[in-house]
Amino acid sequence: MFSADKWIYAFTGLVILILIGMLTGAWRIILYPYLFIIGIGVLLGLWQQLKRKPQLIWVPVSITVLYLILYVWLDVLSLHSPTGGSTLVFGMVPTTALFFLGIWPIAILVSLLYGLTFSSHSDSMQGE
Amino acid sequence: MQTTIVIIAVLYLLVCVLIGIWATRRTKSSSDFYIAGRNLGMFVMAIAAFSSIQSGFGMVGGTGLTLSGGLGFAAGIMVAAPLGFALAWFLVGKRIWKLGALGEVYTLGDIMEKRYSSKAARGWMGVAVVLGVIGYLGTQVQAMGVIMNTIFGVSPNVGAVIGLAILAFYCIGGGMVAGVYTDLFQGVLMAIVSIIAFFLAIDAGGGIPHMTETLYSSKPLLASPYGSYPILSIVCWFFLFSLGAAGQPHFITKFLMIKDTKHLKWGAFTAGLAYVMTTFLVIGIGLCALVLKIQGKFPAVKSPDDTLTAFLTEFTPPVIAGLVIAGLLAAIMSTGSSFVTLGAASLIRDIPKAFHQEVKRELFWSRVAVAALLVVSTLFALYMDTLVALLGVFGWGTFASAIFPPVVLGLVWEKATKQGAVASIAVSLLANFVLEVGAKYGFKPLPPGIINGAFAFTLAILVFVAVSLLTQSSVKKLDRQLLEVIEG
Repeated sequence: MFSADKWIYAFTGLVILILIGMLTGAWRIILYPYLFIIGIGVLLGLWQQLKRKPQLIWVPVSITVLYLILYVWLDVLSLHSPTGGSTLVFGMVPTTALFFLGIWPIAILVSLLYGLTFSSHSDSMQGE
Repeated sequence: MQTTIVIIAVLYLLVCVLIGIWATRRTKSSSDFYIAGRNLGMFVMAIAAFSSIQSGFGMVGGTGLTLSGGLGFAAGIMVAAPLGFALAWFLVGKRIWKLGALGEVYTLGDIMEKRYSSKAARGWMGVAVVLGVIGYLGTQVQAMGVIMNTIFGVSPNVGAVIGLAILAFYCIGGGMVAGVYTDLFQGVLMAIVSIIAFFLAIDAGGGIPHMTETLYSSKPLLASPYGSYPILSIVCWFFLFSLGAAGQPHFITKFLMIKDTKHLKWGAFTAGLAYVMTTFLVIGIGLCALVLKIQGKFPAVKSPDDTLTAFLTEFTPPVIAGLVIAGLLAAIMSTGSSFVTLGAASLIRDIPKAFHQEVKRELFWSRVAVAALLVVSTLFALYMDTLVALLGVFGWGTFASAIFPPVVLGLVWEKATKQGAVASIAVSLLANFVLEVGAKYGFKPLPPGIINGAFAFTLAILVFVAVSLLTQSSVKKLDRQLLEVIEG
């Protein structure tokens, strides 16, 4: 019997936090819950495969953890200055370098993980 | 405009016409017209999905907004979109395909009726899509007029009519077959010219370190990833444009068009990578134009939207300028072709079926509807600017909030109900309209920086879950096939 209830409730709880963040104008209460929502989205996408291979849980967990680490790093780096200082990293200020060389490529990494974990094993309707 | 640029633009339009003729011969049924005969491979589908998402707004507007305020727009929207491709593939890729295998599922309305066994859910979805399509098409018509005016020197109105006539030619005849194959041609063109334009822009700006130093010395914020945009807006954009991607009708209906699930495997990666390539154009030219402006070397532009064409004509060789301008036309036309077919599907299939009416000779009337939608959108865009602006608010935010809860959450959550679906669509339409139109007249209840569409999106998700939980007594046991779809 399929049941993603608890994850939908967790998703909803995080969306409530995001709504609170929007009403109070607190960007961290929008961003950080959302990083967990990304993980839940990936988890729900992998649901069928997770039942056969529970060890695949590392996929949603590592995506969330990676995003969290990079965004916390960006947050800390930009606490005193939006540029994180004037030193150039690959020709960019530190925060811009972290954003465009660290956070941006993760989206492509998530797409790659979709391809690598993809399975059409359960597709009983395939080819119909 | 130089002859080289005109020749390249004419050649581009000619290729679109030829694809249209080929596609018209291949279009023999409603299935061909709406979902390209459910016969697409990975590459065609993925590039069509990416190019329908990358619109004139992203490329022309994005470059202008980077000139105006630095990287914030790119950091919020253009970084989010590739993640959106991945999330959409994970969440609904296989589920929508499987649902499509259950019968004649060509449209979002069909998906709604299959999932909820509800004509009301189908009808509400049809209304949301038609409103959004007319607004989006209106803005595409206006953008088309501006670009055709730049290329051929004709008035924007005449330019819009010429561009729309070509769009009409291939969409009326070839429907989605023409749509996806022109998208393929247009998407590849956009991705390649974007990379070339990026390197030319970096060169014109004196290299990345020099550009950063110029921005930093002018105003440190301009060298940061946020630019001068409020971080609240960037975070809202990130949330709305990544998660909300799975609620864009012109994107997720592409999952119905794949011939086999195995073609899903590398689609997200292909689409995401192609989108990233086009982002380089926006970032490169936008930042270079900003650096040149600070140095007093960039020509004055009437509006930030003119940044891209001003850069191309002043700082790149004519062949490159021609290719990039053709790429811009491609961005506009690929989005327009997807929308016009979706709108026709809602008018001819979804809304009548919601009232228990079935249109006979569906293919013929769909073609008539495409023509009618293009005429209406053109008339609105040319003569009713205010109405287009109002309908234009039914953009990304409205589609995300009207479609994500009932379609995406509905396909992953067994307890979703038709009441939840209808309530969330109604709330999303109302919230977006009130907030966006209200904002034009000074009604701004949200903290500064919060994006209205993102707020409506959260509201719609919560209404969907809450109403679904409150109406559990009305839930009928789902059949085995639908449960398999929901299981993923």
